[in-house]
Amino acid sequence: MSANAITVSDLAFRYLSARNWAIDGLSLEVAERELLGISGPSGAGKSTLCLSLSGLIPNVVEGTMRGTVNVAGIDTRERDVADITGIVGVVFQDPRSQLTGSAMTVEEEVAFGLQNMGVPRSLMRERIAEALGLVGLSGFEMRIPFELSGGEQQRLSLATVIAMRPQILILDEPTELLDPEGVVSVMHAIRSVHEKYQMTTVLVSNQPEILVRHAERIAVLDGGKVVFIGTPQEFLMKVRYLERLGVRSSQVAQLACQLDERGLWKGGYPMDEHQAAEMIRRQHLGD
Amino acid sequence: MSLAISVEHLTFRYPSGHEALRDVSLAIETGRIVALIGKNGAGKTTLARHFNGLLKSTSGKLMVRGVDPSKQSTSQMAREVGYVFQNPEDQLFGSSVFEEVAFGPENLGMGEEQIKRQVETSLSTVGLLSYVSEHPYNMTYGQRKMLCLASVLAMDTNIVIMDEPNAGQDYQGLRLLGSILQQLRRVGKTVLIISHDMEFVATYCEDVVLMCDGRIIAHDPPKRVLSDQSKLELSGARPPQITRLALNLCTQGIRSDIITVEEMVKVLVERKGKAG
Repeated sequence: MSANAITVSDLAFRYLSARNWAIDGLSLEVAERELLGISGPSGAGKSTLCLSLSGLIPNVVEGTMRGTVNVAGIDTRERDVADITGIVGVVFQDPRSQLTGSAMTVEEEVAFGLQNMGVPRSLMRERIAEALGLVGLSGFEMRIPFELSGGEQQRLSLATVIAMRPQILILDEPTELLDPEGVVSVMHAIRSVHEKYQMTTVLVSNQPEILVRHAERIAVLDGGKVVFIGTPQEFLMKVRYLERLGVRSSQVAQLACQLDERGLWKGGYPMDEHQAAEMIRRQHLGD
Repeated sequence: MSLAISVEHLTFRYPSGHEALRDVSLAIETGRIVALIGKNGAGKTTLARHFNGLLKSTSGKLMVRGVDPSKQSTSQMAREVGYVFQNPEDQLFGSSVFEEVAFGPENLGMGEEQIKRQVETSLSTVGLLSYVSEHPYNMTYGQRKMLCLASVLAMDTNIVIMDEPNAGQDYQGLRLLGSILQQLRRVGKTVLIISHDMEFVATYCEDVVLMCDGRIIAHDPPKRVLSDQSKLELSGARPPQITRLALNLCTQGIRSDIITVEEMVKVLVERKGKAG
């Protein structure tokens, strides 16, 4: 068992002036190099967890916190956000809200964070080229960030974060606002980054097909707690349970579940349509 | 059947010279729930923005409920066509949820009592009645999108256009949105919804208009459009997962135009019944 990159112990957080606790007794361990998926209905505490992992809670966002969050061996209460930024990189849902607004080119946008970290100029060029290459934006160096498509902007956000070589990457619903091509290009970039740097990655998404395909384990949040954690195969079997929580399952998992309830399905539920087709051919179409 | 929207040979060129709509013709009957699909940049939003007079065509003919929007004032069109923007930040400005939703009805000249009624009804439709005195910026992205929808519903227009209302909604939000569409259909409204969510389109829409490079390349019921893999691919979209499964199994005699899980269950249960 490798060391944990993230350990959250009995975390609770209430925003200033809010009545309810956004997170209430949440514990979670993420192993080094793991890609953990997180799902849950709105209001479950997913974004609050992301803010807590990035150190913005409790250092910037006002409210009351209990419990501890440890990222790469650091207690987030004991360090400045500026220190944690170099260790934990975050990409949020809305690509436009993450652009600095002051950078005139894609290259400057990536350079911004590196300058703040005091990375020497010679090394900076190398880092920028590598980051843009990994997310598929080589050749975009001189383009204007605000004129890029949503998918391109989201890959640019990812590039600005990975250029700083964080040990942990937090992705808060990075594909939810994109068109299908944007989703594919951003997920491809996330895969390339994870394969190259083996960063511990937390991917929040409500798109079940993405979670099942890319995550090693999936955690489900509800009411500010982790209510399920398991492998994609285990997650797939929870169709009805997830439905009650307000979490959608993929269509092929729903199909398997409904056939299962009629006694017409054997074995685990399929990951994707190809696996579903194979299983149906065997079980139903006499192949 | 009367036409809510009729478009003939519409072309639109942005000042930059980019031709966003190329010879578009389209007829939408009153009371239909119509999905407008295709990848970003295909011309969906540009087309929809002609219907409430936000954009004026370079050439071609457009009629919305019998009038040409380009010959009407913006306030006249606002009575006919409600438009829910894709990004809530482009639409919200009020300092309270009430103020936000009351703005439209106030501008239509409704009395105080009626405004209050409209605000309460539309907030309750989108499930936000308990937020009536909140500040919109204390709400989640999904809630702000529902608030934008409420402020348009409060104006009780005959045509409602929604630009990607499902983006950023969770499962419960999607189901609520679906039930709102059904409610609008029952009272005879015409709804045009821009969406990338093919599962949602398959479940709730009656017609699908597929756009690609400024042109309409299909206008048919969802069964037809969503199972046409080559046309969808051409425009950067994919059939819903269950249809991709059906397409995979069609060599084994499974129909390829299955677009919902329930249909697929039915087909497989029947096959089993015959075999067993």
